[in-house]
Amino acid sequence: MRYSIQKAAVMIRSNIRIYFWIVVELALITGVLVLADATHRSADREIRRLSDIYREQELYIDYYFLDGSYVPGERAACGITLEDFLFLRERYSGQATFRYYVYDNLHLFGDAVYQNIYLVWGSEEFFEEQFGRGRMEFGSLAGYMGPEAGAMLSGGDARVSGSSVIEVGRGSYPDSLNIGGAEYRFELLDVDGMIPVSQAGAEIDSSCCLFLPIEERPGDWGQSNARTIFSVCFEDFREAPELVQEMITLLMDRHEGKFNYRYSDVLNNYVSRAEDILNEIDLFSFIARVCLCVAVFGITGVMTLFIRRRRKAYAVSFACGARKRNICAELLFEGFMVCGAGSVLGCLLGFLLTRCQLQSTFQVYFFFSCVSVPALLSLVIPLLTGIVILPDVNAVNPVETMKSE
Amino acid sequence: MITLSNVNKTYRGKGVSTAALTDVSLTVGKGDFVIIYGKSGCGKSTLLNILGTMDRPTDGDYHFNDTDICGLKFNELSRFRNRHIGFIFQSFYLINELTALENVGMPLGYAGVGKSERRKRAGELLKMVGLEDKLKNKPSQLSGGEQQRVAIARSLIAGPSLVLADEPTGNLDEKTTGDIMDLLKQINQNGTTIIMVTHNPDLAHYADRVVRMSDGRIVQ
Repeated sequence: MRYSIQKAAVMIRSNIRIYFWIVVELALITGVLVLADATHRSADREIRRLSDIYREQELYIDYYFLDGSYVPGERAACGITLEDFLFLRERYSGQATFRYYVYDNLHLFGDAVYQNIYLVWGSEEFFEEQFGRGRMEFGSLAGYMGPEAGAMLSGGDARVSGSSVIEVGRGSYPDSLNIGGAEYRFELLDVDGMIPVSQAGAEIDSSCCLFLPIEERPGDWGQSNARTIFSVCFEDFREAPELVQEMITLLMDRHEGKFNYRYSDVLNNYVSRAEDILNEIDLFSFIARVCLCVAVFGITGVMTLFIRRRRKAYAVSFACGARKRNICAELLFEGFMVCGAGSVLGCLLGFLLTRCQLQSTFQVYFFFSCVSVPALLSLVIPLLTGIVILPDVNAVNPVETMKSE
Repeated sequence: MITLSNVNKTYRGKGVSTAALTDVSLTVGKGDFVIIYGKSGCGKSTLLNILGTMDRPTDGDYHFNDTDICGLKFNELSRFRNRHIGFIFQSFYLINELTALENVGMPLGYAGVGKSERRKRAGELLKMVGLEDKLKNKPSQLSGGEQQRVAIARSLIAGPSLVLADEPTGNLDEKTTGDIMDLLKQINQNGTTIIMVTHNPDLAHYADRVVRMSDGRIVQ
């Protein structure tokens, strides 16, 4: 068996030019299939996730302010800061109910560079009340700066929950910290009292701490994947259009016209977008599957013709003591290796394509089932080739074959 | 060592039967160097193929030591060949995709011998046939004489008691023919039985015994 694997590897190496193109073809097809499958599942999951948010928020009328200058991958859409939220909430108290979101819907943590960070802290009850902890989308400090960051910040007493909230114990927070060679500056905001706490060494006496990206200083931070959004539910819906325009004007004034605010049903837009992608990818996936079927027979045909040219080699192998099962094993291993290589490369290609295509749209999810088709391919093609070629191998008469050659 | 008794071989085509061997009986002892000589089409290659268990007689008996060859199945014959018989062909029949070292080691691979041992023994044999500097050459990078040396090394690697050579010098020039025959003689002197088929009468002096064939029969 081991010799069959070794010989199959040698045969592949010797015929690398032909097999290279087979591997490329398989990689392209499986790559497209993985892309289609992962996109389908990610879109499906995103729709379900957003639908859950809708249900939990019990939104009657939602007006979302979205930073219009948002360019995916370039900078964050944090035109609505926590201060804005607190300001509007206070100003429109009694007229509307607000909810604040850091909608961390993308997945680019590795690219983020921070210089100044707000650590917003308050009591657990406050977070529960104001932000609806567990229903919101906060990027975790662990995600941005590594799991050690929480412990470093609190002098070793913090735990990073891994989701959205950093639970801290008592600790003394520095105003700056060198993490991974980069200098980070922190400002603390006590949201219980809505008092900025900027001095170094401030004692934190809360059980909850939350990291929020804030766009306040020119070029000071580079989170490229978060949007700050808030929803507002008006007591009197008829006042909504006028109040919304007023809020936009206020926000623009607060940010000196830096952002162009607009309101929209953002979550609904995301759902629609995910549904559009789902529909498109289903068609794409269908076409890819048809191509796959054609390609399977094509590749099987090419491999069959290619291997059939080796009748003399099989006859010589028989003369040297090979049994039929040795030849069968060589054939199958050769196919498994070539198709396996194509499928593995295809999976990698598919993952890369999916990430490139979807990272600015929504979170990409990969499931084991995404690789089921490539895995199946790397079995089916060699087996089909084997089924076609094995009767030929069985029929090889060493004497006649060598004579005819 | 080898006993062929009343062996016949008939090829049957579409309504036509051709007798390739007729009532052939032959005994070869251990360590013999036998040359089977005859003109083209006289049945000597057919006889060699039967001796090498690559072909089966239509009727008659073939015993190799105590083994009844006619009673073995295809895979049993492969195993038997692997252990007891080495082949040298006129057209060398090396596998083009494999290097000299890999070609020589192939029978050991089918015998289940590990890679390092295979390479070691193949290297030794290639050194013995004077190709120690061409271990990694592929057949297309070797001359005819060198390819035949590789084929000889391949035939010997599993330590066979019998080497069958079918016109091993048929595609070689006079000087290389002499070299190859000297090599075969040396192998025979080391105790390996050699049966060689040729139509070249000048090679007869290398053999202990010459068997002459004509029209599918042994005539001398």
